[in-house]
Amino acid sequence: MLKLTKIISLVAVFLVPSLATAAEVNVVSWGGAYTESQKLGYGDPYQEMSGVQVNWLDYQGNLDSIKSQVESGTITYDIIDVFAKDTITGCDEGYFVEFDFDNDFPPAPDGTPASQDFFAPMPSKCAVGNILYAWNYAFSTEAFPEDYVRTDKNWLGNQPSTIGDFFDPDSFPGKRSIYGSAMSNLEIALVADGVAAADVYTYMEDNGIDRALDKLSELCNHPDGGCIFWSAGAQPPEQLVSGEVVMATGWNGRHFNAIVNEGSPMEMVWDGQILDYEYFALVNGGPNQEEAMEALKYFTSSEGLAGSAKHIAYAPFRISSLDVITANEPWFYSEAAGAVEIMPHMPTAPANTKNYVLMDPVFWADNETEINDMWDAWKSNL
Amino acid sequence: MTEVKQDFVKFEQVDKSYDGEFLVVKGLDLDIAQGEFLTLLGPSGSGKTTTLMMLAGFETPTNGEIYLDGNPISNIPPYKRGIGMVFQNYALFPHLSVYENLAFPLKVRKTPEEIINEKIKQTLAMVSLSDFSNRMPAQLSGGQQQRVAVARSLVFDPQLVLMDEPLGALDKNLRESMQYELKHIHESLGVTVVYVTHDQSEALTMSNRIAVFNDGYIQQLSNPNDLYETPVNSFVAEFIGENNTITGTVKEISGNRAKVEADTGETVIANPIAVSSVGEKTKMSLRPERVSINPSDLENKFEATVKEIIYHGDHTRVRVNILNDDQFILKIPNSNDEIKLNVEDKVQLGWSGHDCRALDF
Amino acid sequence: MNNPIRTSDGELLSVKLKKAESNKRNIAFLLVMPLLLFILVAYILPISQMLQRSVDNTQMNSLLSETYKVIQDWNGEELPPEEVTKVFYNELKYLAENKLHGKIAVRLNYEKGGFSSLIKKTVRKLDSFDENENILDQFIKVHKRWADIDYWLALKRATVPYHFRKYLASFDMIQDFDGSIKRLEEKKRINVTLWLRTIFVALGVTFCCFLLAYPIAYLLSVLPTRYSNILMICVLLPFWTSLLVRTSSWMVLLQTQGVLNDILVSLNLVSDDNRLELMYNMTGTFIAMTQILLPFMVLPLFSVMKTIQPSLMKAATSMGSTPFNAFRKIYFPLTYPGISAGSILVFVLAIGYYITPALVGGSKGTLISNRIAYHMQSTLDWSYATAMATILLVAVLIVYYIYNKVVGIDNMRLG
Repeated sequence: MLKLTKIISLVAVFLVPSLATAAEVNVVSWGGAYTESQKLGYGDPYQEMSGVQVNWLDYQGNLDSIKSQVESGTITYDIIDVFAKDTITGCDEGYFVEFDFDNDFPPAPDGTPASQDFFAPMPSKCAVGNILYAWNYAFSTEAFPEDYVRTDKNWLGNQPSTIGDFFDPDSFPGKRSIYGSAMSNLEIALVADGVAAADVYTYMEDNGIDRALDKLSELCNHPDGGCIFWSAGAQPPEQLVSGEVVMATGWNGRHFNAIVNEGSPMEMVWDGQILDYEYFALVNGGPNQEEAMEALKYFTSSEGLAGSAKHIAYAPFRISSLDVITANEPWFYSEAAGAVEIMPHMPTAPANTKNYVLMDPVFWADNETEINDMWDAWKSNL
Repeated sequence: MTEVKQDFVKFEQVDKSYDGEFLVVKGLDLDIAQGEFLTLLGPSGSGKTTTLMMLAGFETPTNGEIYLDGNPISNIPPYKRGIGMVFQNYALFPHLSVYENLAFPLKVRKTPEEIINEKIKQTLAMVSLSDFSNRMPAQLSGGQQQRVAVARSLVFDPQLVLMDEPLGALDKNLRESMQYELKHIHESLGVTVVYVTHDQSEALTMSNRIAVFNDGYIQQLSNPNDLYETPVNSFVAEFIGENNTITGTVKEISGNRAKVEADTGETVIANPIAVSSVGEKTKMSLRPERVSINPSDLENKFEATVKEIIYHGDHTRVRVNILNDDQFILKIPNSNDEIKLNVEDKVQLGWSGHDCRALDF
Repeated sequence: MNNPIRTSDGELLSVKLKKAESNKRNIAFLLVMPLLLFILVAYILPISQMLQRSVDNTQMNSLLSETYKVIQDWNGEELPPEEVTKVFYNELKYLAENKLHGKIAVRLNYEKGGFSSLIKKTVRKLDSFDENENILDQFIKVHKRWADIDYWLALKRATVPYHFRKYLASFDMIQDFDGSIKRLEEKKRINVTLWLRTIFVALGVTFCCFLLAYPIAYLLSVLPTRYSNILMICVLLPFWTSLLVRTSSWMVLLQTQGVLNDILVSLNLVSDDNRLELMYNMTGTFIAMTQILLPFMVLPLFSVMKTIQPSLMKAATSMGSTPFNAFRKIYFPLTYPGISAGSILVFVLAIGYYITPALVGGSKGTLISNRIAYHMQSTLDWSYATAMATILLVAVLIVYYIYNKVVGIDNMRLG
């Protein structure tokens, strides 16, 4: 009997701490500088304010982990940071909670309802906007310095400045690094080939994919061009800095980080880029669903979303958050670069939105499988 | 065979060092006659195996030259020397059958198939393994494997066969019967055998001559009888057979008689083999079977106390205390007129001065 | 038979023996029990589930059970008749009311791209349907895709309870509506290429590993322990390095502006504008995979070589064989068990690799396992992924079977 009480007390010792910190929320995101900006921007402030512990977990994107958690019945995620197309699939599969948007999320400080305060309508009922970011390209200023002489023409000071230049190895010889999947590559290829940015997706539905692949083949098979493929967001700046490639597509926040914080010899080009969104979803049946909903409300408030932009050059999804930033510039701060005015670097800045493609998540949710089959076949025959 | 070559194998001033600091074999001079069974005997680390390996070609002499049938062989690789070899662990090829093992040296020599068959048949018959040609080595007993190894070393008619402790892994009975078998094979084939062992009884049983190695030198090279009866130094005396040692100082030498004062003070008459001057320290060597009990007229007579009696079947070993040494052994043949001894009995022991050999200290 | 032998207490000897042995057997069984359970839970169950998943479509079948019944009789030559579309309409309406239409949207989209948004768009308009009018026309009014017979055929395909379509798809084939099997249109063919490439890479890497590992293992087996330990650590180092560290060191070493090319250029072996492409192509894949898998070849070889007595080679040379011949006839055959164990290990591991080749292999870095991972993680089409995984498993079993026939499994030594 004595033994039994001993065992029970021993078990209790291990159980008590976990009971004591019952109020917590598990948020899953992409890791690295991005998660850091989320943690500093709204995770830590919320934790301080509410006393609910916010745990940040990393994942590699994709819904397979959620799918296995749902199938095995042990869900550990509460909030997940996802692509637009994944909010659609996740919502269809019933992995995510559907929101009653204007009731669930607070209005802007001036009273504008939440649904009006966000830049764009949500791709599914389970999504709440988080950031806007761009797939744009950067070039190495060592390969193409300010007085670069284009190989085909004899004038000075002609650095890459359009999406067409990315596909022009005659003028700008050297290898390119592009994303390893079809997404983003087909869009920029079509824009570079003269398709109007707004028509890209309609054009692709009508067999525009072959044209995009032809354009890419031209670049990748060009003796002065050539392509390598990146899969992790950190790769494009690395490849540019090492001299492996002279131009690389990538996420504008990563380019910004390399340029501003690391002083890498590279420059971004804002033309023909793809403006994409990132979303939060609330996991259906997560361990702390109620606390998670409360946390999500704060994360996606004007103040919350503005907070993350202090630490990374991604635009907050709420229009009212931009007002917060503009009123308080220089808003961005880092050890390496000091205080920086962040608005001109935002993918939503007027100077950066002259010619851009708006990502169509429905198109990709519909066609991803088939297009990626064609993409892989194309890649194999390069 | 018209004339027996006395220097079929010749070592001439051979030195061997592995590390450049220490000589394993020192200034070795050795002639081996054709058809001889020569054993290299010695404790481990004495240089005997190194000597064998130099002859086989797996080690190169650091200095000096080795001649085989009159030709220097230091620069000839082992596979061109045509020397048969038997290894301690048999070194049978485990993935080849007995037949294929034996065929290996013949095939290398591009011997025609029918001759190979014939040779293998003969050789297997010689080691009484005719029915085993299709077995794999793992299916044979240790003794059978050993015989295959011997057969394999002989099948290509080498003039010289080297054996490196070939019986070391066998149990005692098998070892003894294999000793005779090897001896008979040697006698019937007339092949020259150089045999390495650390087992002195094996060496005494089989060899024409024995070279006792110690510390890189040949201590004594002679036939088994001389080696046992007339060891030239105390190492050989102690290494070969059983031996009683009495230490003392030479007091007087005249011809083949010396007076030695034992460390206990008594005077012992000895045969001066390795001593030449008065005042030298010496170790006197005396074989246990050369000691008599209650002798009538021997030069050396001392009183001893019986300490231990061990029955050995054909003889009895008696350990006594004599000249203040209680490790002194004598052997008494078990005949009808045996002497009854009991522990703590006092007896008179005696031996001839000729049998008591005064050797180096 | 003679009189059966009995023990001293009169029982039959055979019965008594069985009794005496049964205790032993029970204990032995108890001892292996944890292992059996582990294999069952960690291996047999998941694999049987995998097999089942690759052909099982019962969930979809039950969601659209009424549609399945009627659509099977439709010949598939022109758009389906009203009785089919009506049943489908009713079932879709029911699913929408219970918020289950998302699930069929996802699955129908595996069959035909565009189905996902089609279902959702249609569901939004279902309330405005007039059940007395022609349902098909109203479907088409919502979206013109409903006029495309391919979508209806996809619906027919997608509602059967069991199917082997994913297996066909794994080989770029599709079952036509008349039941005949044909190849996919050329620009969508990808899997066969990848299967062949995967096998080519796995064989090539196995061969490279063999070439590199053999001398290393030999050296390890003959060196004194204090040196061989250091060498062994070098061999095992890749195991202790994280994938990212390894990959970035390859990049530093192998890329066109990398260390290796710099050295070659400075030695004037290669001209500066003609640097070697060692990465982002097949060469990169081979270099990287060979490095990672090398230990799996070295260790079995080493353990086999360690047991080969040095005196065997001496014996062979003493019998007149040249060292090369002795190696060829004696040493090499004795290492067969190590070679085969190492090869089968490396091959089986290589056939399942995908992260490394994707990172360093460039446009040729996609292997069949990338496709499995892609369907597992990205499209969530697990039945497709499991069908391909099953084929991979069968391929490995075939290799194992051939190996057993040719070499004999008893001859394998893993260490």
